[in-house]
Amino acid sequence: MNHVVCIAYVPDTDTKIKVGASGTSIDEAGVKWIVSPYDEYALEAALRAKEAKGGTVTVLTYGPAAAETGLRDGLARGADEAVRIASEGVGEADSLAVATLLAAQIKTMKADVVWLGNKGVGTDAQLVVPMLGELLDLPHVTLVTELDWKDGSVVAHREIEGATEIVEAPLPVVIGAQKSKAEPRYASLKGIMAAKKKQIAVKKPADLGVDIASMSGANAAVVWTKLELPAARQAVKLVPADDPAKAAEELLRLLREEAKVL
Amino acid sequence: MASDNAAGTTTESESFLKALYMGHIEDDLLFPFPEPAPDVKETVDAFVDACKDFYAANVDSVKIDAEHFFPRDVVAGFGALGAMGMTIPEEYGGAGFGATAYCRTMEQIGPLDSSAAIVIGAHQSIGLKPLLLFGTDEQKRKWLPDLATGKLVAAFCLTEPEAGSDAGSLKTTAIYDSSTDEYILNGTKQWISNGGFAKFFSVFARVPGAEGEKDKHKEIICFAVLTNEDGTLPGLTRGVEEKKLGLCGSSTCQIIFENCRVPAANVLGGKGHGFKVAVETLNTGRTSLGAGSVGGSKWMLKLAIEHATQRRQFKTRIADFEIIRHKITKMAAETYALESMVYLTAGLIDRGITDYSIEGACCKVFGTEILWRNINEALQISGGNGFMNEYPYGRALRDSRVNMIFEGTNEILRLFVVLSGMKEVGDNLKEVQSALKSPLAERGILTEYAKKRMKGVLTKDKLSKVHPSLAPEADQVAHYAGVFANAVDTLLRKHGKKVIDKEYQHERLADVLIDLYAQIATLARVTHAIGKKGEEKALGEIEIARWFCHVARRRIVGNLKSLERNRDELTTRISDRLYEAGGYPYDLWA
Repeated sequence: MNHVVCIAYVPDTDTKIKVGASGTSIDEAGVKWIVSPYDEYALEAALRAKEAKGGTVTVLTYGPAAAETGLRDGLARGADEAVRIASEGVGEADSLAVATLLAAQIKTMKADVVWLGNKGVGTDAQLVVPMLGELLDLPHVTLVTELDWKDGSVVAHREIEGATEIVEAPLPVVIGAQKSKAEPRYASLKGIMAAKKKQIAVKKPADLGVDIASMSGANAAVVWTKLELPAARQAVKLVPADDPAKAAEELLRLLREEAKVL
Repeated sequence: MASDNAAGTTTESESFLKALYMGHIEDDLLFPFPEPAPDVKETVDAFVDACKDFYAANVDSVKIDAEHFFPRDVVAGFGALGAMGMTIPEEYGGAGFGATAYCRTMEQIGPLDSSAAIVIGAHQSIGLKPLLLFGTDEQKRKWLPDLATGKLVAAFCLTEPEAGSDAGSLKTTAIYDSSTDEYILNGTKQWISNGGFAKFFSVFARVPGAEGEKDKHKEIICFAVLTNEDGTLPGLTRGVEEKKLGLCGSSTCQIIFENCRVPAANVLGGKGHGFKVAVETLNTGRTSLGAGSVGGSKWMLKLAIEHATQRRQFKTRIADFEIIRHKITKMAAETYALESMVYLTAGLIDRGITDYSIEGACCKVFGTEILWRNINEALQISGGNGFMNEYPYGRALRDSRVNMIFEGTNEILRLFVVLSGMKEVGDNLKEVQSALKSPLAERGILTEYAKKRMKGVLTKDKLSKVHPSLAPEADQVAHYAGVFANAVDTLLRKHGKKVIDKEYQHERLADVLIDLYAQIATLARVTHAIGKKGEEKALGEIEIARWFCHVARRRIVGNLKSLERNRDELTTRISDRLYEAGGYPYDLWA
């Protein structure tokens, strides 16, 4: 069974995000990049499936050369091959553009299961999984926490509000992984050293027959118009407690008039 | 060492600091400041990330400290992760990390849990080092792969109850039994890190009378002692776990040998070379202690800045009080200088310099004392919180205290960096003296040192490649490097062989040497940074270098002056009286 795991290389969840000069993108200076945590669960599930049933795992990403660090991380954890679709020279790509590029590449591979994190942390759009299903004309299942293998199909456990939904889908299939009990493994030093020696295949959008200019930058279906940080939290307001009765009164007034919670 | 230099070219010591003793500033070793290849950086970054994930899920640092126990499954986890085989060559199953990669990794994972750093560090910085440095290919093939995976954990058994800093006086014996081609070990080793669970011990023992009375060090042999798979071995007993001030989770105990039989094939480094094996092992391990101190110092600085910028008193952030500004700046400047020194040294090691014993010792002394001060200052800045055990300062103090004691006390190492340098100078002085006795001798056969010495000027070497923005600092450092070399020379001529006992002076010289090396490393690093990102973007680093060099210069001037004008005789008389009295003898009201 061949697994393709699509990974997004995103700002570390601990990063202090700053809005860039354009006002529509983040300032990337000093940002630490990581593989999106949901994608790590997807990779882990794929690696476990490979260990149990044989086959190969390929990690795939769309991004700049720096994103190859994320692919190397995948190789270090046990993936066999890695492909990067180069984003150099491409304008801002929305979910559809990314899904189109990924689909074009996946069509050249013999994939039985296409894995992704249910969402990429950062933009959190949750669009690429269903889009890939459409573009590849394959069934897709989102929010998957567990997968059982049957002959020619999979039984997926979906984490939905207050319940688990169990669905069956024929192979090949696109799976959106949710956080699960199968904690992602750590890359071992041996794995890291071995990954260094592997080649990462780099494809340009044109190599995949995608006219990316027509669907990115100003031509994208979704264009970011403005990026704003949440309002800074206000400093704690201390009510002096010299006179408890007065303090209680003042506290009530503040809760009613300023915080408006009463 | 000098006489074979008939062509009159400089005989350059490989060691940067030994050359400095001779009045040379080996610019070529400093510039460009060493930087590892991109793939090395990438590997280290990826591995540190993996380690952080592993620690977050598996290493309960508070529990380990509280329970005084390091879970064995975590040790096994380190093995699977690859942390136990970083320094072992790839051909033997390790990752083949050089000094820079190892230091950079230990710097970053050390602060995550210091007991864990001891498990990993004692294993490969010292435990398996004798095998790595001196083992035969056959021995390496036999044991290194299992050491790399952590199946075997290593421990270094040198110290004994009666043999601490004077390691050469060890009493553990090894008697050869020709009938079985084995050695029989008897004796007690003390304070053995990883002692409670190691299965591979590098043990130093004496073959009594092997070299007669000539050289007691030549009687010492290093053995690889391996237990059975279950950790037992007839004749080997593990003592009870020591109750320690810090590093409470790490295992430290006695290892007792009673008629313990070891195959002769397990001798590491050959008969009679055991002392050399021990010394070289320790010499190579010290740089990484400096690196650990860099990591700890960065952590403390982060805590101190966090607290100082959040805490308000008198309606002001305490960070804005000048006394706090000074503390924070000093912490950062010393950390920067230390980091520069450690990675210059590691870079020298990685480019194949074989003699770095003085540089390594400087990293250890400078680093461990800076870390101690930085923890103390961070604790102080945090005020009363710092005294509460729910904050990390108290444990950091406890854990870092032994750094100044083990792997050579900082006192012994101060003497070491001075006496090793002086030996080099002394050997050359002999030549100067004989040349002066026969003034007609051809000058051409003299070393550069001797020629300079006879002209009365020891050094005019400059730090010529330092960026112009730091020219005053570079001139100052070069000047005092010359003064230092002259001072050493003067001291040697004045005291001859008796110079060995002049420890008041050695302490001063050691501190001058460390401050010189720290400044040189700092200037080389900032120059490199300016080259990479331009003067404007490197301004922060330029200014921190200026700050450090200013303070270091003042210390140097003070120490150099004290070589001439001091109260050393008083110190001797006062301490004599105190020893006589056995305590404080001055009665307040008498």
